[in-house]
Amino acid sequence: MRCIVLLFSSITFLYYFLPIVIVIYFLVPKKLKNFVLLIASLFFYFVGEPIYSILMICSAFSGWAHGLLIEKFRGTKWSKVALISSLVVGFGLLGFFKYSNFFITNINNLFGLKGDASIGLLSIALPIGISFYTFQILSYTIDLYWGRAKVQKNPFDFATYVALFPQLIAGPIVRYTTVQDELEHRTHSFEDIAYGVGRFAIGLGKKIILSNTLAEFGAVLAGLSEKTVLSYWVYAIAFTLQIYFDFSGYSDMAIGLGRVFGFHFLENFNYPYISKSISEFWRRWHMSLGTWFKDYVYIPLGGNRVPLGRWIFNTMVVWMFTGFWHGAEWNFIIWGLYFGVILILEKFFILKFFDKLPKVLGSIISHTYTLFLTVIGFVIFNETSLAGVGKTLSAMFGGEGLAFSNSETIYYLRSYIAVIIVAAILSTPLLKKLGEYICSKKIGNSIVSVLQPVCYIAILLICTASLINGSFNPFIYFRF
Amino acid sequence: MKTKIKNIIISFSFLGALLFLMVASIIAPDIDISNSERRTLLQLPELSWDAVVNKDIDGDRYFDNLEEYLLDQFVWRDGFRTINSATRRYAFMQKDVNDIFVLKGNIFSMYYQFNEKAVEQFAGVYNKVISRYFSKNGANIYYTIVPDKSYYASEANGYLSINYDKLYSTMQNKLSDHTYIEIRDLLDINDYYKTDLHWDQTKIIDVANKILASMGNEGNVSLEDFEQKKFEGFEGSYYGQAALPLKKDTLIYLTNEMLENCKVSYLDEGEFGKTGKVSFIDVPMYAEEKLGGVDSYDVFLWGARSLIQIENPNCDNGKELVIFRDSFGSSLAPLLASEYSKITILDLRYVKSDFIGFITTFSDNCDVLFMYNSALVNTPAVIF
Repeated sequence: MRCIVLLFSSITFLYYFLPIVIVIYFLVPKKLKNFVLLIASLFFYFVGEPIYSILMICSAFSGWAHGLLIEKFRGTKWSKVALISSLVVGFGLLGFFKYSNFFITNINNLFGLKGDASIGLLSIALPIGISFYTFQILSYTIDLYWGRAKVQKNPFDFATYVALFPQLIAGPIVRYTTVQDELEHRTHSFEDIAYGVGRFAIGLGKKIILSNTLAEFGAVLAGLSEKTVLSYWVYAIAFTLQIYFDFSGYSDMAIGLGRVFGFHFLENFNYPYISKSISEFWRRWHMSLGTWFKDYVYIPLGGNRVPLGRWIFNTMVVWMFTGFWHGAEWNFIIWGLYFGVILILEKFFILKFFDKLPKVLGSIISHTYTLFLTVIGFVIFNETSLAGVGKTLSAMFGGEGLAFSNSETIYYLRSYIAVIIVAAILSTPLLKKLGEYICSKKIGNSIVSVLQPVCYIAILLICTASLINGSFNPFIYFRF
Repeated sequence: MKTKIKNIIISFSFLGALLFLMVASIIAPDIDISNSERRTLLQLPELSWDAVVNKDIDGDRYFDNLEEYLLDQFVWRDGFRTINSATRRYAFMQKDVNDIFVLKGNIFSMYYQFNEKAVEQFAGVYNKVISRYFSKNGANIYYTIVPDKSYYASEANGYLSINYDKLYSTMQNKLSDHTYIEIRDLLDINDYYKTDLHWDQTKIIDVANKILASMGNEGNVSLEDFEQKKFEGFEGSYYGQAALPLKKDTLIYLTNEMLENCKVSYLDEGEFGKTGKVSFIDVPMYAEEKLGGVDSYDVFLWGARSLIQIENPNCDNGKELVIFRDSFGSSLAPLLASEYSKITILDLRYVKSDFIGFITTFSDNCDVLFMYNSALVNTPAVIF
């Protein structure tokens, strides 16, 4: 079965959907622009999820209607009831479609229910992007209740916000407050379009040229006739890079497309692999999710202004849900809790230890420590079962009796080493800083100005070539 | 350059590129077959509500199939494949792309996982055929394994290589009752086409002579015995897979009066499939109409055929040679024709061994030669 969605990195999207939508969008008068975006977004979703389009429309309608009720009954208990109702509907739908089978499976396992005695699994597929648009809708109703957001009375404008195709299926989680003004009053300029186009091209390149090649490398390593300790480590590192370029590439494309249409979405990634602690890593990785949980879960639970035991509890709850948000599997929960434990240890011990080290040594150790734990984290993330997590970690640390290396591992490592090196360099701000330095010089700026459009077209053509060649085109964040 | 002008250029150039390629792809007529990829290209799927909403037997909906169609029919598809291949080879310095690698303009397919069961199964089919058709007619059984061209290049150039010694010894152990003809020492990398997996017919004269001698023939062949016919611009099967602007080959096939006088016929498989009737279609030795088609190497004995017969009126010794072969045998068989009154050529990939008796018979004391290439021998379930 092939991928069932209108990917940004697909020919259908790139060469048909996108140019047609952009042309129509800029041809129609201002008052029709949201309508064009709404229709385009619904079609975009319909292509991938014909039936679940109705679910998304219902969710959007629910969020809009609850917003009206919250506003109408503001100052009364009914406003809170409306908020709770919106939370029940939102989390209820998310829970039903995403987590039902997880709970059924675990209840069956817990009580040893087998065969006819077991609870049957539901025959439901996970609606694409439900985790993202549910969190967006709830950010609206919660912020509205708290008085941070303005009520949206126009159901079409609200549906446009929920369904906006640039960020619909893979984020970033755009809060209503971020775009509430731009939904009604936004401007368009060549500056924004050029920025958006450039950002989109960079994201496309990250996704297709780097992430897909790394995914292909991973598939090669997974299919080796004889795996080795080294192949497990290289696989883990390749996946760590792949998931970054996959997700941040998609975020870049979303932010870029948003900008083309006049929206200013917040950043979602800020070079997470240069972090010197896991705390810092999570301030740089999937920032829209991290701040969502911080603002809507962690702080309402009391944040850090609570006794120590309660704070540890709050932290673990937040990280358990962060993991669980990523998927209805135990490994995601373990993954979240893993980071929760590390963050607690960092707060009390590890960061204090790093602070005591000499600057250069401390920097090397802390960076190595962070990358190591991040790679291990993504091993947990990438496996589909706890047994798989245990087996892979065991193999990485020599517990499976594997040879350290062999000719097959070395051959493929050599074959893909350039991709790994390029990806590793581009996961740091080195190129960005180099570009800024060159642009700070007059001649450099002139050269960059000429090269910029050429580079964007070159990236587009290389990406197109890769797609046409039928290269790997997986997308990790669809399952969320 | 002023920032505003730069922004305008970026905006219009990118969107212009998208629109240009969209319009070009729409205008360009759909292509049925890709010669470079040797496959049929997908055509526009039929649009219906059912196809949009429900998944087909492959688990795809209309828009999944539409994406595949658009990929297949994208304008300048071969050019884009070249961009992809060049990017991976030269920018990312990948040693191979999809198991295809290039050494000094010579294209190779990398395979390295020895499949012992496949080799044993191959030998098992040989033994089954021998036991069923040749155990009582005094046939002389010979076999050889044609080394694929990676044999001469992979390991020496740092590429993964199958354990050929193990492959050959496994085969020899399973066929120890029969005569093995070693030909690896008679070949080198220059005896194969650069863009194709096959050997060059002009470079296998010594192979033909060794096989003839091993089978007890006194005569031999010489390149001077033949007229060389050339086809320039031969794009072998690896050429399209490599998708790089490499130099094409010149395909040469050897003919002479004796070969032109031979009666060549192949089984009418369509008729046999429909009615069970065995009939043959007479054809020339070389299928010149195949030159420039999807696979020009099909010029040799008409490509993939289950059964071909060559009757040589210039040879009256009454001897018959039966060859079980792949396409390497197609170019070798004409070189053996001078020593046999009849050559019967079968390909067990296209006729199951159980059915051979329905389509042909073999004369007593015939020579039997099994010759498949090493890559095929290592592939599971290709002959039965």
